[in-house]
Amino acid sequence: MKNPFKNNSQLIQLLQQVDKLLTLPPFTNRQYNFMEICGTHTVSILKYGFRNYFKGRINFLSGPGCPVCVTSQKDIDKVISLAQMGVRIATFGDLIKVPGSKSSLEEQMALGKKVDVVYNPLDCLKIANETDEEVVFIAVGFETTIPVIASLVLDAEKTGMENLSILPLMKTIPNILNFLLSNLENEIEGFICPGHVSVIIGKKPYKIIPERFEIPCVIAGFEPVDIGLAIESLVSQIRIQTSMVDNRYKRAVKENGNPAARRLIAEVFEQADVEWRGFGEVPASGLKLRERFSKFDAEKKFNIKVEKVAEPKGCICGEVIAGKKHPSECKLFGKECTPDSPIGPCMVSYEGACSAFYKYGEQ
Amino acid sequence: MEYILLSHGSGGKNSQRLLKFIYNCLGDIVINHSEDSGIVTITQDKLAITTDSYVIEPIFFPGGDIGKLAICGTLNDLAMVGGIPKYLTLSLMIEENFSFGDLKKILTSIKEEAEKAEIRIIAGDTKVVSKSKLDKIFINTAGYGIIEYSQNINSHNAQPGDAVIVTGDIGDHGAAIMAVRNDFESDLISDCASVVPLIKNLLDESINIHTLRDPTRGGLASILNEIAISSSVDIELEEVKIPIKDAVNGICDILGIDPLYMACEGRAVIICPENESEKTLKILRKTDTGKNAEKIGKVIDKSENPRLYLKTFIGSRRILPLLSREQTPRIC
Repeated sequence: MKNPFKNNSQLIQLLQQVDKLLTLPPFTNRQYNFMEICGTHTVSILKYGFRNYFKGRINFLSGPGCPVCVTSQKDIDKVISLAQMGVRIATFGDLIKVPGSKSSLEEQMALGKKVDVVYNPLDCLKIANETDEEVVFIAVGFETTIPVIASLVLDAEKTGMENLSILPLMKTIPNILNFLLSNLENEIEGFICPGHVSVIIGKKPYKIIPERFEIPCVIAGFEPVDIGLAIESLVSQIRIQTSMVDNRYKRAVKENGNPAARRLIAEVFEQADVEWRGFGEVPASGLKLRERFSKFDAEKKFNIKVEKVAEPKGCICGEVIAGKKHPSECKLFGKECTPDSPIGPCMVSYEGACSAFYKYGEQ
Repeated sequence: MEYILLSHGSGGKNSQRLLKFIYNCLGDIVINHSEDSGIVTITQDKLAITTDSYVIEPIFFPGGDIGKLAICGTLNDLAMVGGIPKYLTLSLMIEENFSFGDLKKILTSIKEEAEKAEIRIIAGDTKVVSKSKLDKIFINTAGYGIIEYSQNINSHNAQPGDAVIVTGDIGDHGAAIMAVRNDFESDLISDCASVVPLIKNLLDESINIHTLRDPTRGGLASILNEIAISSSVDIELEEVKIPIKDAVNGICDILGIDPLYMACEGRAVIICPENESEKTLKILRKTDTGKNAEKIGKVIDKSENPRLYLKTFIGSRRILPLLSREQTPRIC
């Protein structure tokens, strides 16, 4: 079946409408700053050429929406330390190359430590079932992934699995946006809200952005037509001086999100203050296991102790994630730091702003 | 006997049995049964010689197997310099405990492809290695072909103004393999095939091919980057013209992989003068493997800093860089 959201002739017409709006006040004097939070949006905006198309008119900043990129150096060190203890690690593929302060999982694998790459957290059940070794799933991710991680914990409890635990590094979106807007130096004039996360959390958590900060928001999908619609929505809102949360991803995002998935999350996890790369500790911006499930917490089970470490010298991933700097402003970008030998996490993950810009950057 | 044992590689009676089994499966495409070397008479001035090792996982995939791949891959490498394949060598490295049934299937594919291409296997080798020292079966083939045509085909020869043509849909092989590895349900089959007949037709019709490459590992974007660098030119592709199946796009979207970097095993990229592009397409489309051939872009200018550009379907332009490592699947 042809994907109607990809190469669609109406998209060109839509973009021409946006072009026209951008010749009218208040757009005539300067470039406007939009932030996309989700890493997959960053990729779409670059890959389909939107960044270059709107060059000089709209500047796209990448926000803290790539789960690997926002994982702090200290948390990466925890993962490495688990591997060094001889625990069998199950992880999403992107984490393997992320350098910790002294080593990476890739290096640990070369040294003979066991690391399984999984696409679905539930695959860990099978891995743990077939071995007597201790298996730890590295639980990174946002609201999109967390319901499945919750299922993993519930299934492990139900089947009385003793050799499976998770390292909880999960983050949640609403409070980090609040934090970002309260602390930002650069002015963000429009938000493209993460489509996959919105499928779970719905529209409501974003309402504070137009209401308190008077910034237009749009919930968007990831295909070219979705991106076009999102830009059109933000530009139109600015043009008529209004701010709202516009849902332009209605085929996937319901007003109220997915309450069943949220109940699943709430059954297993509770809010926690967690550390973000680039931001430090942010109140109520992540999740920890509820007391009932604490035996599945690998940090407690293996008594992980790591020292606080500085981020790699010269690396500006923290500022990139905060939308303060563009990857091209980093001295290491494309020189010492490439997808082949990444220094910061934004160059590792497919969704990382640096990796996306390295791969899909314009001329 | 159902499985291959270490003794099948020992040089004794079991080795003889394995060899006999292989010869039986391959039939008369093997022309040199009992000597240590094959002997050929070289009558032409210009020959093409190539070698490649095949280590694919899974060894059986939709649209082919490691045997078909080992023949087509080497035939295609010969064709990419205008060589018409004549002889191949065949080396089998087999893991102890590999099943004779699977070996027979692989040898049957080899026979079929060799017969189709009218080539002969002139030398071969079989090794059996202990369990877990290699994964199931690895195959090496070397090929030798005759260059009968006068066209000067090479990677340094792409000229400003030339058309860039691809002989069919991009990324089918890579996507079909990824689908199997990830247990996705899909109807995709690998494009694994010999492109020799397509290329022979073009050469017979005296198309002035400047550059010819098969987009295997690294895919379309990687080989065009290599051509851009070798020829010191900028190349621009048009996204809307690149033939990619929706199923391939779908699998790539799920895995966070770009189809332009996905391996093809039965495609060629042809760079020829613009005024010969229509004729080229017409000739290609006559053959089943070339029916989806498209002109996908052009060589723009000479450049000291050669780049491959993509004109996206919204009319914007971005670079398609040479990637330095395998793409990893995304996680959310």
